[in-house]
Parts: sequence; C-alpha cells; structure tokens
Amino acid sequence: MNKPLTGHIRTDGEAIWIDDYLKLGGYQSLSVISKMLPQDVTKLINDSGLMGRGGAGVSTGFKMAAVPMGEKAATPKYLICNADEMEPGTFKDRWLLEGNPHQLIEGMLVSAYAIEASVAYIFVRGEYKLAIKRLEQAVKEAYSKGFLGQSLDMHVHPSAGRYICGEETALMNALEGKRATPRSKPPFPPAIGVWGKPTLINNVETLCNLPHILNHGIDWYKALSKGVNAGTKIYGVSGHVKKPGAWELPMGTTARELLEVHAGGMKDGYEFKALLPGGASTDFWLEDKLDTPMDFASTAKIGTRMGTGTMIVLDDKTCPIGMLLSLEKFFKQESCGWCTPCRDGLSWVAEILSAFERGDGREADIAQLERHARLLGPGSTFCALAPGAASPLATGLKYFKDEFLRHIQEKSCPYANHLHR
Amino acid sequence: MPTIFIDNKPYNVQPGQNVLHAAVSHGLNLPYFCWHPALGSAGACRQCAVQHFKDESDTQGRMVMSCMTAATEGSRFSINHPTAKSFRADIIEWMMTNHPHDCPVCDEGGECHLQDMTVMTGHNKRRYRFKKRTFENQDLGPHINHEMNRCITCYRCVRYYRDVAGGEDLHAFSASNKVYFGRFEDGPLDSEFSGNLVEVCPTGVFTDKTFRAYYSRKWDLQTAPSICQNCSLGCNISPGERLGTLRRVQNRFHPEINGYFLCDKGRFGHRFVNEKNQVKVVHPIGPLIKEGLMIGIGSPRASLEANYALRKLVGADNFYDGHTELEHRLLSKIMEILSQHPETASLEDVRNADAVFILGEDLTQTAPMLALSIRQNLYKRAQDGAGTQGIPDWNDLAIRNAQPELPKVVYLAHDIPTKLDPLVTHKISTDLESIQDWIPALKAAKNPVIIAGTSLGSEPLIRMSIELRKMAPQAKLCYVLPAANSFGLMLLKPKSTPLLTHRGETAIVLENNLPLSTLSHLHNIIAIDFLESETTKNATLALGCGSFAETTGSMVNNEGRAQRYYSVFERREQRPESWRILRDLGDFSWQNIDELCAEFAQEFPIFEPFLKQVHNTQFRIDGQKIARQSPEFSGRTSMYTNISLHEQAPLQDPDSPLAYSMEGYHGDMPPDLASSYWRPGWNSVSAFNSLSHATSGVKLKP
Amino acid sequence: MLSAEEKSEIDHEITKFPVRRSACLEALAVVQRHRGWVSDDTLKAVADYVGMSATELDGIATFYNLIYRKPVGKKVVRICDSVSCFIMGYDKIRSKIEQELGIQLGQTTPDQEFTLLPTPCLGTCDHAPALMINDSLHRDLNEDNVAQILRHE
Ligand SMILES: Cc1cc2nc3c(=O)[nH]c(=O)nc-3n(C[C@H](O)[C@H](O)[C@H](O)COP(=O)(O)O)c2cc1C
Ligand code: SF4
Ligand code: FES
Repeated sequence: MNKPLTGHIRTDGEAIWIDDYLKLGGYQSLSVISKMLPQDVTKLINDSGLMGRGGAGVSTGFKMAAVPMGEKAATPKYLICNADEMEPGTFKDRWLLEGNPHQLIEGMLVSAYAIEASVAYIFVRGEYKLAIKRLEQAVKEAYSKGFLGQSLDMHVHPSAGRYICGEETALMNALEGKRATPRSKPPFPPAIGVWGKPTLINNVETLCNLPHILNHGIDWYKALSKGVNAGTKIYGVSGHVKKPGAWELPMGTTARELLEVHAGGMKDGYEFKALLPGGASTDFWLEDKLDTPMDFASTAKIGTRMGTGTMIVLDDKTCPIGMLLSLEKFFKQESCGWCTPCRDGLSWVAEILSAFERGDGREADIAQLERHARLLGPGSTFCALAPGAASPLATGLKYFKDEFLRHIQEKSCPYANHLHR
Repeated sequence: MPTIFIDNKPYNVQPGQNVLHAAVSHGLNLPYFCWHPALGSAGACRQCAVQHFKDESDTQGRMVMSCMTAATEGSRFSINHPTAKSFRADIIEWMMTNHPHDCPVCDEGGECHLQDMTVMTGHNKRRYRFKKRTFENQDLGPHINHEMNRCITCYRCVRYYRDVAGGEDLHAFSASNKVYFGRFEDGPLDSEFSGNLVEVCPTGVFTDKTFRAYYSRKWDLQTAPSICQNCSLGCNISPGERLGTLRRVQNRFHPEINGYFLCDKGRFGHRFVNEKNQVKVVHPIGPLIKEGLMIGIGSPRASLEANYALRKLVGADNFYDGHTELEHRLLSKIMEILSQHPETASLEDVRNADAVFILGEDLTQTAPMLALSIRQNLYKRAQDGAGTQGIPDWNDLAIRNAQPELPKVVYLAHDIPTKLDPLVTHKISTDLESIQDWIPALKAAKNPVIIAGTSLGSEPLIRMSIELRKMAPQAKLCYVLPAANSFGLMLLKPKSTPLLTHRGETAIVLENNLPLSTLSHLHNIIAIDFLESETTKNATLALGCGSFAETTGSMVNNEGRAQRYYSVFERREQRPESWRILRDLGDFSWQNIDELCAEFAQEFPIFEPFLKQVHNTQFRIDGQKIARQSPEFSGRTSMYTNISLHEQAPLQDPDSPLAYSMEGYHGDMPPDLASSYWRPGWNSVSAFNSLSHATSGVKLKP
Repeated sequence: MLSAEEKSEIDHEITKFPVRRSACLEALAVVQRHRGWVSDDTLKAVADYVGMSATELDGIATFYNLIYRKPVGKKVVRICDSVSCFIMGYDKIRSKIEQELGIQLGQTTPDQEFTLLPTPCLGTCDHAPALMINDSLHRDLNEDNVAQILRHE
C-alpha cells in the first residue's frame, strides 16, 4: 500500500472498471464520509497536510475551507477537476485518468461532499482522447451504480485546447464557453467561481488522494512521505535517460534518486547537464541541487519550485538554447494575450532565442533576455503563466551564458539538433 | 474622504476609488491604458504600475497595478519609485514593438493617448530588432475606420462596445500576440453607439471616418461648447470647425446627461451643416411693413432666443407652435404634469434608478442616450450586487464574473420589438392591460424612473405616467420630446398651430418645415431657415440663417434643463442668427444676445435663473475672452490667402465670451465653457480625468 | 444548416450547462466531428443555435487550438514540438514527415489526405517524440517508424 494512487493500475494498458474497482475496495470512502459532517471531512483533509498537486502546492484543506458553507451560501456549488495537463514535460495525470478513472470520481465525491457541491466537471485536455473515453465510461458506470446522480452530477468536459485553460480562473471562463483569459483574483473561486457560484478546483492527482486519506487516516497518509509534505507523489523523468517514465514514490524523494535509480541514469553516450524539476515552468537545476528532496517545502527553502514533479533532463548533446527556444515558443504561443508583458514580452524572447539558433544572436540580446527574465517574473503579469516562462529563462541565462556566447561566436548553433523554425 | 499618500504627499480621494483614478484626478502623470473611468479596471495593460508601501518605514515596497488597488485611508504609494517607473517604460516599449511608426499619417496623431503615454514614460528608442506583426483591416462601414496594426491590445474597444453598449458584432479574436479586434466579416458596426470607439480607443485603430474625409489635426480645429440638436436629451457636444466646414463632433462630458458617451446620431448626424443647399442670406433686411394679420410659427429646433424674437414680432396672440397639433396636445399635457410634479429625471438619475418603467418609447430610436443610460443602469445594479460580495465598484472584471446575469429592473410597454427587449424584465403592450403587474415593483422601488414620451402620439400613455407617479411619489418622470428645444418652445406658451383658413394671412415660419396640409393654407410665407425645404421653396421670401454650429443660443432639453450652445464657425460670410433676422424685421434694438435676453427674462421670469447663470458676453477670465482655437493653431496668417493676401482680422463675436482666436484664455474653465480637454502632457480626450466634472445648465419648471 | 443529428448532439451538450451559450465550444466540437472543420456558414449556424452572434462565437472559436476554422485534410497529423520531444528528436521526425508528405508544417497535401500541424506537449513525454493522427496517439517515434505510421493510419 505504499503506492495508493497507482498500485492497482494495470500494466496491460486497460483501465480498472467498476467491478474490479469495487473488488479492490473502491468507493469505500463514501461510507466513511457518510458518518461525518462535511466540515469534518474538510478538517481531516486539512490535517492530513495534502498539498495541491497542480503545481502551486496550496493546501487542499485550506482551499476546501474557503468554500462558503451553510444555508446562506450560494448554490449550486461546483467542483471542478483540473485535468488539463498541458504543461510541457508533464505526464502524470494522464496515467491516473486512463488507468483508474473511478479513483478520481471517488475523490471528487469526497470533495463534493465536503463542500456540498452538487455539480462537478472534469475539465480534461482535448487531446486526451483515451482518457476522455474512459472517464465518460466510468462516469456512466458510477451513475448506474448510484454513486453519481444522487447528490452529485458529473460531466466530462474536453477542453478546446489552450495551455492557459489549466490556470484555474481561465478554466472557469473556458467552461463557461468564453475566451479563456484569466479572471481577477480576488475574488477567489471558492467565493465566486464558475457562473458566479462557489467553485473548488483541484488537480487530478490531488483529488485521487482523497479516498485513501479517508480510508486510512492521516497518520498513515503522513507516513507515506519521506519529505516535509505528506503523502506520495507521482514523479516522472523524460529526456535521454535509460528508463524514462513515471512512478508513484514517497513525497520527498530526491531528484538524484529519481534520475539515477528510477530512470536508470543517463542513456549511454549522454551526459547530464541540467534538469527542469517539474515541468516547463520551473527553474533549471544543475548537479548541485540533485540531492534536494522533491517536495514543496524543501524546494521552496532553496528558493526554487518542484512544480508538477515531472522532470525534464537536459543532456550534453542537446542545445540548451534550442531547449529554451522550444519552451519559450510554447509559452509565447500559449499566452492568452490579455496582459502586455506576457503577450509582447514572450514574443520578443522567442524572437531573440530564434535568432540565436539561426546564428544571428548578438551580445545586446543577452541583456534583453535578462531584462525579460526579470520583468516577466512574479508581480508583473496578470497570471502565473509568464512567471512560469521566466523561470527556465532566468536560470537558463545564468547557467548557459557560455552557450549563448558560443552561438554568437560561431554564428550558428553548435549542436546537431536545433530548433529554429 | 480618505487620504492617501503618493510620493509622500497627502491627497484626498473619493471613497471607493482605485489609486489610478485618484492619481489622475489630482492631475498626476501616471500612465495607463486599459482603465477608463466609464469602463473600470481590467488590469490587462500593466501600464499603471506603482510602488505600494506597507507603512512609512517601508522603503522597498511592492509593485502593484494602481488601477487594481483600492485607495484606502492612509495607504502609501509611489509613482516615482525607480522600480515602478522603469517597469512602466518597459511596458510602453513592449507595446511599441509592433506599433507602426506612422504618427504623421495617423488621424489620432496629436490627440493620441498612446503618444502621450510614450512621451510620459520617456520611451524614445527602439530596441526591438525584429519584424512587426501585421494585420489586415476591416471595412466597418461609413463611420469608423479600422487600422489594426496600431493596436496595443488594451481591450478597451470590446469592453466598451460589448459590455457597455451591448453591441454583439465586435470581439477579440485569436490569442497570444495575434489578438485581433474586429467583426466576423466586413460590414458596418451594428451598434447605435459605435462612434464612441473613436474616443475610447487610446490609439488610432478606431478613428472617425467622416472626419478622415476632410481631416484636420486637433490643434487646428476651432471648437466651442455646444448642444446636440438631434433629439431632446440635450447631450453636450464639442463640434470642430476649420476653414468654414464642420469637421467632426466629439463628446463633451456632462455628468448628469451624456457622461462620457454620445450616440451615433449625435456624433455623425451634424453633417448637414456642410450641405450645399443652404438658403441664401439676404442683406440688409429692412423692417417689415405689417399688413393685415401676421402670424408666427415657431420651432422646437430653433433657439429660445429666436422663438422669443418671433413671438415678440408677431405678438403673443399670434405666436403658434411649430409642433403638430397632436404633439402640442401631448406636450401641453406633459407641461401640465411637470408643473405639478416638477422633479424630472436626468440621464444620471436613469443610470442610478433601481427600476425603470418605459411607456411606449423605443428609446434606441427616439432618445438613444437614454437607452445607453439604461444599459449603464443595469451595470450599476450589478456593481451594487458585487459590492455586497465585497467587490469594489471599479473592479470591472470581477463584477462581471460575480454578477453573470444583469439584474432585471426594466419594464417596457411597447408593441414592436425594440433593441432594449433583451434587458427588459416585463414587456406589455401599449394598451396597458397588464400594467397592474408593474405596480408591486414600482411601489417597492426606492428611486424609480418613469419614462414616457410623444413618439407614439398617445395621450393615454402620458396619462398613465402620471398615474404611476401618483402610486409612487418617490419616482422621477422622464419624457422624451419631439425635438431639441420642444420644452423651451412650450415654455413660451405658443398656441396650437391652427388649421389656417384665412388665405390672406402672412406667416413667418421659423426654422421649420411645415406639413403640406398647413402650407397649402398659407398664401404669404416668410421662411427663415438654414437649409432649403418645401417651406422655403413655397415662401414668398426665404431668409437664410445660420445653423447651430455658427450661432449662439439656448435650448431646453427634455428634463427642463436650459443650456447654451456657442458658435464654432468662422465663415468669411457669416450667416446670421434667426433672432437677428427677426430683430431687423421687427426693427428691435438688441445689439447682442445679452440685450435680447434681458428683455426676454423680464417677460418670462421663468428663464431668469438660467440667464443669470449663463456666462454672458461680458464674462472674462483673467481679463480675457476664451480662445476657441488652440495655442498651436496653424495658418492663422495665411489660411485665407486664396481670398486675400492681407491677413484677415479674426471675426468678432458679440454674443459670447468666446473669441475666434488662438489668443485668449486657455486654462481651467467653467464646465459650460469648456469645449476641449487638454492638460500639459495630456493631448487626448483622457485629459478629462483631471478636469472638474461640475454639472451645468439650469433646470426650469413649467 | 445543422443536421438533425448535430442538433440532437448539441442539445445533449447543452444539458450539461446551466447556461445555453456555455455549450458553444462543445457545439463547435460536435459540428467539427461531423464536418472536419468549422466553415463560416457552419459557425453562423452554430452561433444561431446556441444564441450568440457569429462575431462573438468566432472570437471564442479562434482563441482555441482545437477548433479548425480552415479546412483540414482527412488525417490531421499533429506533431508535438514541446520540450521533451524536442530533446528526443522532434526536428528529425518533423523533417521526415515533411519529406514523406511533401508538405510543410501548417499545410495540407493536395489530395486533402493529410494536414500537418504542430501541437504543444501531448503528455506522453516518457515516450517522446510523439504525434497524434486524428484521435490516435503514436509514441516513441524514430525516423524509421514514422513513415510506417503515416502509411498505416
Ligand atoms: C498557466 C497555468 C497552467 C496551469 N495548468 C494546470 C493544469 O494543466 N493542471 C492543473 O492541475 N493545474 C494547472 N495549473 C494550476 C491551477 O491554476 C491550479 O492552481 C490547480 O489546478 C489547483 O489544483 P490543486 O490545488 O489541486 O493543485 C496551471 C496554472 C497556470 C498558471
Ligand atoms: S500572464 Fe497575462 S497574457 Fe500571459 S497568460 Fe496570464 S493573463 Fe494571459
Ligand atoms: S490601467 Fe491598470 S493595468 Fe491597465
């Protein structure tokens, strides 16, 4: 039971359907909560120390407690599962959605009970065709078994595609059938959310934790971790490593263990240069940070972030500037276009990086990039997309300065694989 | 009034304001784009960044967007802090990465908010070395020009057009740095309020196409305060003239009437001033030799002064109404009602009402700004609702998310579909059978407004307005009248236009095109008008007068508010005011408008308070007349060299404290004399934020 | 303009929302499933059906990546150009596909069989490089298997 979220997921690629799920003890947490008051469920989750797995690491219980309760609260209240996984390098939610859709539904039932939500949406990436199919099937099964349809209605909503839809307030606009630009915060979604009603939004992995916490208690849950924050975490590694993949491991597993043990180390002929610890919007880490436990608190302590916990490894054969260009082009394209720094700043950044890859980089450009890395950071923009884009840029500039200079001197990209179109 | 500190200086601010609004109201140079006083804050452009300090000892501070920050008692900010200052320069630099360098050929140049803000932040060197992104433009019809490459993506256009004006055919398209503002396909903009885009857009994306056809820079326009002539609401406008043609009309802020906006009729409906078929001016006119009965037919589109002069000439007994008989009957009823219940509603009252009851007016057609005021009203109700959820009035984005459905406070009786229908809670037919259903809401309302009018020619509707008023004494009444000066004309107590039977009568018809049925009874017509009409063609004598744009006079709007408009025109051959023509016909002695008004006030004491308040010809500021031309006005010494090589002396204006000159007073002035907004560094309409927004005009009671 | 089948599918989507117009994106997805892409006329019909102006719906539609406002081929090949795929050889895969199909990114083959588009991260980074052909995902691509995959899809 040290892999509560993924331990049962089949290795043949098939999902766990309702009968098997029930046999494995599925939906048992519903009888646990049926003996509890909603507020007590919230308190339990709060005490469990569960932190949101969507990237920002906000206490789940804290968010649940922010939803207005009692008769005066506006209704209907909405629960939304953020399954928009589109952060480059992130591939953890797909596993949970495709492998064990009922676990998510059960988690959502727990959360909906705690906040007295009557309608739930699973906002899932449009490209996750298999996940969508399986979620729809599982929701149908849950209805037929009476788990859904009594106090909670649930809909699967495929996104029309945009990274910004993962930002929770933009997601609400997308769900309402509007342009998915983020909303002003405050007010926060628990108070005023989708269609003006109280709304709680949580990541897939976050929600999947809930049944297990209810079933086994908070002591058990805390003991799963070897880091500061509680529970397990789905980590992943991609890049030129021997065994790229995703694993559910104790929270606080070090980056080195992930890289060297679980991913099997670098592929032959490739050397480690740096990594992004948790998706595209995190800082580059060099070798010196590899022993950091990958949890929210430990990474924050050294002034960086774990993000989604799915790391991307940069090797010595790959152009770091090409990698930055790929990242920043993504952010530029996916900028919603609402605020100026992100909309116009990121396209400038992408233009410069692309110039470097063409062999047209100039020294003054480095200063421009540095300026942008600073300006796109927290506090300048309307939402967290641009600060996300600034993270790899700022650290990339710091760690790969000589690579930039080499591109200028050689008037071309010295690497074989480059990205300049 | 809370006090906030900006760069360590205390400022008193309006309760509930955001820091940006407070700062620009005090005339501080804090640049911004997406905020607009009528649109609230969006936090999109990030231009208005300031440093926010926790307390006096905090010197670091934290950068915030001033438009998204409440100006609460004792809070401390800095505009000059290097962090915020350099960030603002960065923002402009980003905006300019794609902006074309086309100011010299851009219509907005010289009154461009983007130009001003660029200068204000000190951005003057282009470091972006890549290609600019470009767009294709759309044909948006005859009024609005579209030049998308100039867009800085502040979202003001759609926030105005969709959210304020309720237009559905302008939207933001695409995302990233390709966001495009336009229509689904080429075609004229649907909204009756599209023209405000010209003033709302802070750059040259949306400009006035009618102006473009005969363009002049802002500083070369001669402007004066004026009143829109197109309906009875009396919206304040600022017409601009050059070389004897009217070039454009812009909004002139009036807090109780039009506020920041005009309707398209008001903005684009004044081109008749430049029409060629003007009635010839006759000079000189001798006194009229009166033979037999002479009657005068006044006009609801002529000034009070002209109507009074006519009345004086023909005598009170022979002064007839220029309205139709039916209109006269309805107007008399309205005057009677208002004499007993004199509290009329201004547009601001309509914007603030908690319930609006409309009896038989299709407002978008008959009084468009009243329709816009109702839309604004619903937003204000949403603001109130959001306020109870802790959202400040200026946080537009949050308000619209918190109150996804506009409150339902509009009741309408009409038999045809109207553009307001989607906002109406309850619509009934004009037979008023189910009006009972309205009563509970009416009685429960704290400050309702009841709107009726003359457009359907129905007396029962007007009677119903007073019935409703009796049930709800807290309600204010608002009547939509046939023309700009209908109210004023009625105050002169004209007789209803009779079915004239005596063929021998001489009729002086003032600025009015009579129906053929009336015309055919008249044998001998002296017609005074600006443009040729059936009446002037059938007249024995047609005398050309000046349009509103080249004369000075007073009108009374639908709420009974008397206001003066001033000539903006400097024609080489000046066209006379109708009252001067009538003065000559009657051999009266008035040399200027003051002399006429002195007599007028004696005879009609009701106008006394207005005529006391209006700035008479002797009014001076710092001993100077007020300049109609900007200090930068070009070509004064040479603009008429095609006529004469000698520099012509500026035209003298005997009727106002304004001068047809760049010389004269230019600073702060009373609101009814201010015609263009300007402050150092603020050349666009945005200058209005730092001006006093006092109300003007005097409400009269019949 | 909308077929009975499309209408009934859209009606079903509408039941999922408290507000009719909120279903507009789902409605576009429905017609796109049937027609491959969303033409101007289709867009107008959908706008009408959900109760908004064509301008508003187009403003929304053009915001998103998965609504095609231009015709696409029978098979839309969407190749991931995000970071992990880049590291694992996106540029080679892309060149290979461009060669195979004789078109560039953003283009459609003259026989209307294939359209080649880039896509952000497909969330299968441990099996990079990856692409999607219509609804099916293909992973662990290399220069050898990609031609095969194109042929067999
Ligand atoms: C640009 C952007 C994209 C995001 N994308 C996702 C996403 O795909 N999935 C997700 O769960 N959270 C995403 N987030 C974080 C969400 O805004 C939100 O914090 C999260 O869904 C909350 O769930 P949690 O409390 O369970 O972590 C994104 C945030 C930003 C700023
Ligand atoms: S940072 Fe600004 S432009 Fe970028 S996605 Fe967020 S709101 Fe949109
Ligand atoms: S005016 Fe404040 S962000 Fe635009």
